[in-house]
Amino acid sequence: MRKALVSLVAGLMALSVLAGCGGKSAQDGGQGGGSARQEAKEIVLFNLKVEIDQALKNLAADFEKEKGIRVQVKSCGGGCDYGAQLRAEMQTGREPDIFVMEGPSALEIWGHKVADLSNEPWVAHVNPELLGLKQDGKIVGFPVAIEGYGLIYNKSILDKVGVDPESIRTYADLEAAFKAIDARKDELGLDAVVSYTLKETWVSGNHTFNIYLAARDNPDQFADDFLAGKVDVTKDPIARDYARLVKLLIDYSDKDMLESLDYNAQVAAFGTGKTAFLHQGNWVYPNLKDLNVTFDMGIVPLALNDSKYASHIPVGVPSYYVVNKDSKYVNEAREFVNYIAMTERGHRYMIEEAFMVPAFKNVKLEPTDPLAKAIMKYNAEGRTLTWQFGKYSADNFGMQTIAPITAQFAKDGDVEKFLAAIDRAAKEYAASKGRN
Amino acid sequence: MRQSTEAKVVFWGFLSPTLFAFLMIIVIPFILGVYYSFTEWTGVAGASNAWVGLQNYADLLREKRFFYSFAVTAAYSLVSMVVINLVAFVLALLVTQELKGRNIYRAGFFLPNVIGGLILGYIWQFVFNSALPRLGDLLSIGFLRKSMLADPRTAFFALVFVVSWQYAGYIMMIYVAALQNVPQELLEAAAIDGAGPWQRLRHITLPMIAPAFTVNSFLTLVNSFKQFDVNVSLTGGMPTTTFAGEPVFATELLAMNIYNTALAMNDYARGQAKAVVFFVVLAVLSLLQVYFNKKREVEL
Repeated sequence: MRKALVSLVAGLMALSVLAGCGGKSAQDGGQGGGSARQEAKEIVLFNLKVEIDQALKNLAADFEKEKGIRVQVKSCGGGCDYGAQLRAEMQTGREPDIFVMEGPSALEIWGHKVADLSNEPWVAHVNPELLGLKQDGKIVGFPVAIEGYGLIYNKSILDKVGVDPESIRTYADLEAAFKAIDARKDELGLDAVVSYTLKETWVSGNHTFNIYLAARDNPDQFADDFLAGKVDVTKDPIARDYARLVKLLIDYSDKDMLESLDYNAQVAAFGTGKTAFLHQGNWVYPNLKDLNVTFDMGIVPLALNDSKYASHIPVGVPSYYVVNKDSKYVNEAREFVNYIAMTERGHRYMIEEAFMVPAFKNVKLEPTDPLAKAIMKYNAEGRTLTWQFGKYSADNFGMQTIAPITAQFAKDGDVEKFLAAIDRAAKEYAASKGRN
Repeated sequence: MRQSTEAKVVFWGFLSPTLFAFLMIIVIPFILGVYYSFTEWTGVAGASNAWVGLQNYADLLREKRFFYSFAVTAAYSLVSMVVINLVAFVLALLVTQELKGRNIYRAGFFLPNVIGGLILGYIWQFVFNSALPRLGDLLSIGFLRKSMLADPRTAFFALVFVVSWQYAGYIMMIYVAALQNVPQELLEAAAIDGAGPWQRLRHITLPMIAPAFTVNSFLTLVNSFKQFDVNVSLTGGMPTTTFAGEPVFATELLAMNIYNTALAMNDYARGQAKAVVFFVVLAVLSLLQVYFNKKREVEL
């Protein structure tokens, strides 16, 4: 019995070795055949979003036809843990040549693998703040797509009231628009002017609060100082502007619902025409499409004062491609990345096939999604703010600490207490980080 | 002699899988958890886990949010223990009467317990946030228009309500079993002696089912204290309220507070310190409760 088992296992192992060899030799054969015409090269791209798997494979096929370089697209399926899977891929003996990083924190693990992309041709077509993935001052990340948020508006309601969304560039403009709509709320059948929520703590703690950190000169430095507890929030004039903006959002939303409105209900209120504005980003478009929205829409900034930054919207990069510098085909990998950003075929892939908002200003194609269009316009005009909340979102400082402080402010409206609470929270956060 | 060796082998052979699982998923994590509560570990592999002594426990004393969670959990446990047992006992009395289709009632009351807490929480969130306000609009009932989950006090009772709805059926089954074990001859004898229904309940049924009370109040107390899934899905800790001048999540019960500290805020060691405190308090409370309830039981 035991003997039979041992021989069975041994046989299986031998078979698997043979199979491995067989596979390899078959592959070599295939490549050998190709090399008759030209040298066969293959790069491996380890993709994060399974939704764009097919679009990416189609692009890869066209790239191979044009350049003779095969691109093998491996996708991390739904519910897959990309970070863990990437570790496994790196162990297979065939490291991916192009892989994805979702933010700078991934550099702590894979920093030794990334190639310098500073001199690539696409760099010139990207706003510098979207090239956030840097190592030792060198650009190492190719922005896969961008996302942006602000106040999404219902054009038909704004038209009825006679508000021109293009003209909303300062706090005063925004307040005037809110007031004008509020005055005719009943006639327009609105529940509230704006669809805002404090229940979804990422909205108030990450997105809204980002305006405070980013709408200023040198936001990177400021956010670092703030999180290190070096900023006196109570003496910061922009903090007062920020409090005023939050108060405006709260005063003109459905107060009874602020702490119970979830994301779906928030989007639905706007999508069914019950509010004129929605505090969200371009990612809501598929949800709005499901609601069969017919009105035209766009995005106005969360304007907190009358500085030039008030007319900007936060635009960020949810994921980057990085090139593996130890790869045999590092130049071919760069070429593929270039192909996405610099050719008409690549642009068509981003906009028409993968439905992404490209970070590149040389893209002339127009997306059909009005929110993507709005984001591209802000990006082309350079009216963008950075995403600073990524610096604290891993610890959920925004969701666990800033959000309840904002909710308290919604109830008592006490600006001094609000600012003091933010100040104290930042200092406690800095202290806890220092201790750990 | 040989026989006893074989018995030993069989004994350990059958015990070892369970023992292994028990060690791996209860005993070792528990000891590790206590150890981590004395370190500064953040929960990230490779991060420093230097010994900090009682620092984490000292920090807890200054954390108002933790005190609030403790207080609200205690209140919640007390209220839901009473409500669940009351509802369950009344239901049990009902379904042990000579009713038509009482098995259907039993199954019906038990059914919510079969649904997972997370799903149930989301369903009731929809009821509280969308269905009831819509009904309030249609019927012009003012107080229904505002979601119960939007106010700290009503959100608390919404949580008690949903958990009672879920759990009462299960507790009811234990009462049903106990009620069926009350000897009929005692009840008949009392009836012949002229005892009314209330007297029979008060002086015969209740003392006879005292063990069920012990079991059920223990179960409900411990489960309410450990409440997590319905809490997360129904309210997620929302809305917020002010406690000792600081904003806190009004319905953030202890288990959720520990989860948030350890996993959302990446302060694993402090979360573990909270968990240790939680364990000690819960152990003392439940032992005390079992001790006092045991004294009331009668043996036949």
